[in-house]
Amino acid sequence: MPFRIAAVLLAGTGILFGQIAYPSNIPLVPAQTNTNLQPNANIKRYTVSGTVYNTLTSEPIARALVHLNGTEQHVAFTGQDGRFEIQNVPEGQVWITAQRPGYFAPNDNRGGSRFQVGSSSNDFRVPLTPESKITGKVLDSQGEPVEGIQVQVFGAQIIDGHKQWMPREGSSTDDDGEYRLEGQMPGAVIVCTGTRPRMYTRESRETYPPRCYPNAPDVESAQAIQVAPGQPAQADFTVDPVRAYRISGTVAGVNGNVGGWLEGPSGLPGMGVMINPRTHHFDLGPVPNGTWKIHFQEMEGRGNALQTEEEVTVNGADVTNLQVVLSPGVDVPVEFVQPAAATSEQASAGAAMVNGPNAGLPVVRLHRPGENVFFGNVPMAVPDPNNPPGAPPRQIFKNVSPGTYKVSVQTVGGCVASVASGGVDLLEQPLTIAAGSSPQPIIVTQRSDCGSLEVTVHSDHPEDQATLLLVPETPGLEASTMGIAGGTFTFQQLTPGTYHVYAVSDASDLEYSNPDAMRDISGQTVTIDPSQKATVNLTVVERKK
Amino acid sequence: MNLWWMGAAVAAMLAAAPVPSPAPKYTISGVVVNEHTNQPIRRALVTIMENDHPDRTAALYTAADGRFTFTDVPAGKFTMQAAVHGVERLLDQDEGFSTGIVTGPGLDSEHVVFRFPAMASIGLKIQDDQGEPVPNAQVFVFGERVNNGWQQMNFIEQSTSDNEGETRLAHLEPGTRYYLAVSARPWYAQDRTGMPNADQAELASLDVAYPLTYYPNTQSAEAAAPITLGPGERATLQMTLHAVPAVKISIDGLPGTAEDQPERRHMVRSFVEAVGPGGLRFMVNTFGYQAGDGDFEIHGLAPGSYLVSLSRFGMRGGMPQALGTARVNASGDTRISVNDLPKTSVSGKLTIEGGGTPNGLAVWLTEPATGSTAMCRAAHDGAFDCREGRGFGAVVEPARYQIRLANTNEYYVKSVSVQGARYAGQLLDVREGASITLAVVAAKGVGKLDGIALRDGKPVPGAMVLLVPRDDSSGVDVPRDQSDSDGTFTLPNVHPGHYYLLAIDHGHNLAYRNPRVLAPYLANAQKLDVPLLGAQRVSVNVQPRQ
Repeated sequence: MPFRIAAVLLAGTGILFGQIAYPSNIPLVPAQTNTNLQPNANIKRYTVSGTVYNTLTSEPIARALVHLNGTEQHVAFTGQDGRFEIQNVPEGQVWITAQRPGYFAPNDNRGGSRFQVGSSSNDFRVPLTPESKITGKVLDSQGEPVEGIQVQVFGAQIIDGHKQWMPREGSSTDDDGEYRLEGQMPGAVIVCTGTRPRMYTRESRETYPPRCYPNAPDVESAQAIQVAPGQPAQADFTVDPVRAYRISGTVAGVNGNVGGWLEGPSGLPGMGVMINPRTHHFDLGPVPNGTWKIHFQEMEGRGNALQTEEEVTVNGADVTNLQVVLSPGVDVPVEFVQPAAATSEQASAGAAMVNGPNAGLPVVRLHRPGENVFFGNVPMAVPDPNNPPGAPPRQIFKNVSPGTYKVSVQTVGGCVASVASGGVDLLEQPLTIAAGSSPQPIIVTQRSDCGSLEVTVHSDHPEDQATLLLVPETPGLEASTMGIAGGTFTFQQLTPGTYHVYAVSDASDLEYSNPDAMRDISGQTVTIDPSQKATVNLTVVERKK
Repeated sequence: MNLWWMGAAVAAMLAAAPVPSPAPKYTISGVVVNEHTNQPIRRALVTIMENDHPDRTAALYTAADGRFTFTDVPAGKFTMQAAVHGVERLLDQDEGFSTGIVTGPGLDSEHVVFRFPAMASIGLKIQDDQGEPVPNAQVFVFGERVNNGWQQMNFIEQSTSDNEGETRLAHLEPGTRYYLAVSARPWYAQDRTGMPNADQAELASLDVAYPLTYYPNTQSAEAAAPITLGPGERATLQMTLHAVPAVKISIDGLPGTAEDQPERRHMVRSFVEAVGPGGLRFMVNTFGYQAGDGDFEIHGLAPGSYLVSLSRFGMRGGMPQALGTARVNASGDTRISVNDLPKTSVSGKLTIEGGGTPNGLAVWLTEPATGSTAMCRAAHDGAFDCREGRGFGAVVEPARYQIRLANTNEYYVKSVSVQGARYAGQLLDVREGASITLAVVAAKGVGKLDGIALRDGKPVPGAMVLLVPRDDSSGVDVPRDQSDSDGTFTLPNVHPGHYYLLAIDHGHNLAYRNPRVLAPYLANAQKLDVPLLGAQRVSVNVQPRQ
């Protein structure tokens, strides 16, 4: 199946088109210096020493491998006392990092800590943080181990200001029913066991149902476990096999190769579905009682996929003769109504960051509520190739699956007066696409009287990166984030209205689009009038991790 | 009853009501016990499947006393399976054979004793010479097993150590001799050539590797110590790896690399194998890549003996082309040339006696010592070219092979003529660098032989029945079956020839392809010529296992 991961993650992680966000968790990696540079006899050399230490306990770490990168590369082990010494290091800037199994370099140290080697003291402290792990046992209610069950960890990730549980690595239980997931970062996780047929045969009629810790059927109703830095977390499960059934039927409307998958309890693909290429018959299982969503998708040409989803309820019997019809997606046009004046001014402001036929335009996106963005099919609007030159800009969302969508607009390219379709205000209401329809275009009416907001940030730690968050009150307008290290930043092309502004030391786990999550963060509320150049002062809120 | 061809389709599980019908009904009942302690096993899942109607199955869990009872069972032949803790076994399972349960008038199907083995396991911990755990070590398990009467060294399983250097090897058979090999790289190992700006003296002490190490602590496959476990034993073992300076193997003379345009280049892939216990070859992890000067380099190896194979992949896909395999004794950095790689080829033509296209037939070369197979799919005109089954289009490894037909139960190998190698005792001796051509003639005429195994006139269930060729020309395989609960058996794939028919009450682990092992039983065997004259069903006297 086509995973449009690149586009999804780019759009979803706050790296907004046109605004170069500076995520604070990606460090400066030093560029490789000129490899032809020969050591110059005039360059002074020093002995560099230091200690690698455990960031949790401050204890030194023995037998860690230290990497020193500058004009030359050096490596050395720390001794039993956690100390290292490297001779003959040329003076200048170096990056020093360390490695050892069971530890990771902390967030702000991934590429190494930057130090200056010179005539003053060359003794440095290099941090390592112990990894955590999650272990547990999966037993049945008789106390017997369940072997070979997949255990999957989900970590919280903020996508568009909302918390989503994204899958990380997994493992499976051994013959004692035990599993071990190593290399875990601290934070909230959800741990789930997967289905496993009671016997490893195609016709199995029992399966272990999926279970999310402590005892929930899916990720949404599960309880997160806090993994503490350097501490093991324990998650045990009790699962008994349940009767399971088969779902079979035929797929119609097929032109080429069809694949399918059953959605698991996390919204991610669970079981794959094989569809006979000749008869278009499918037969999947074993599936426990419950309501399941099965996705069918045809791959034809270059990604224009016919698709459909079927919701199937299994309740004590096989489901046979399910008739599934693949429907083509629907094209949704987007028309831009631009203000007569100020076109060139706005175009140049937007085009400074963006080129191409979308320059100077707001970006409209469609979202399927409840769908895990890791896997969701997020449509992107492309310029309409049939739009005559000189005509107002027009785009198309091609091949959108029928359903209900939330619409959001990112306004770096220009602020908006309204976004509507068929009289429905899409900044407040969802967009419904019916199968086989020719929907009304989404009309984006731009305005020339955008405002701006100049934010001046004060910090108790001016040398540290902070994150600015600008959250509009209008649901359909997207929030903006910006990394900043003190000073001033101006948000441009703001649609007049009310906004909440925050500056925080670390936004990586902050659900900024969720008002409940932001209740305890102090920020400012500001109303931007048309053409207003507003200003606001903020102090960075220090957040403990 | 021979079920090897059923594979994973055995024991379809359907807890449906038994099929009602006016015919007389029978009961299949018995007990599942631990093979070694004779204790009953509760909550074992017992499944019966009707051989003539594979969709008709029934399954039950055993009670606390280990008993199970299937009622209202029609007359017929059934395959029985029990599953305990994720281990599945057929009744009296011996390789792919098991004892079927036959229901019918005058037959006893109510005293089944299902002996279930108590599997053993090993918890292995691997550490380095500093006493620290070795993560990500590849652990290979080999075991001595009898397959199809041949004493073989088989690859059993493979696993990876975790951050504590630990791994569990489960579902091991008590009494089997196992061997362990560990392949790992120190976590701190640095590749010298990847860091041109680095201090070479510092790196020299870090460009290290662990030699392939066999339990308990040897680098020689011959000196590897066998591990034998008792029923249900959970052994705890430890191994220590010692780092040594790494070596690299450079290969030059590659086709289509530096001198060609980029779009005409091919990707060259290497894979490196070690020769383990019993001559069994297995792959070890290495880092191989094409260096800037057109050489292909393999890094991160400990000094030792390896088989290095190279294949070339076209950029546009298609079958990889094998460039050859070299035996390299790398005690230091070693350089070899592609032109020196011996290329062994085995190819030929398959014809059908009396005419006909060998459609879908394949010739397989099977090495009896290890079970390794090279596959030679016949084209429409019968031409074939054998490739090792390991992928990468590898050439056939020097060894001794049986020549067999696959994908058929109608044809058998009637004759083979060979050019470029010795063929004696029905084994093809493939030497390094040889260019071997085979002419294989297949003939129709494979049938089956029904019979009954008796002792003192009474049927014997679970006996191993063999049809051993009396002369060399009768074929490479020995038809075999295991008698069912009523003593009956069916020998498959029987073709014309002169044979000994014999039955042994317990055949498990009998290396009957070894003439010395078989000799004592031949004295009491009966002679049989196929095709049979007269009665179409035979009877055979069951001998005790010696």
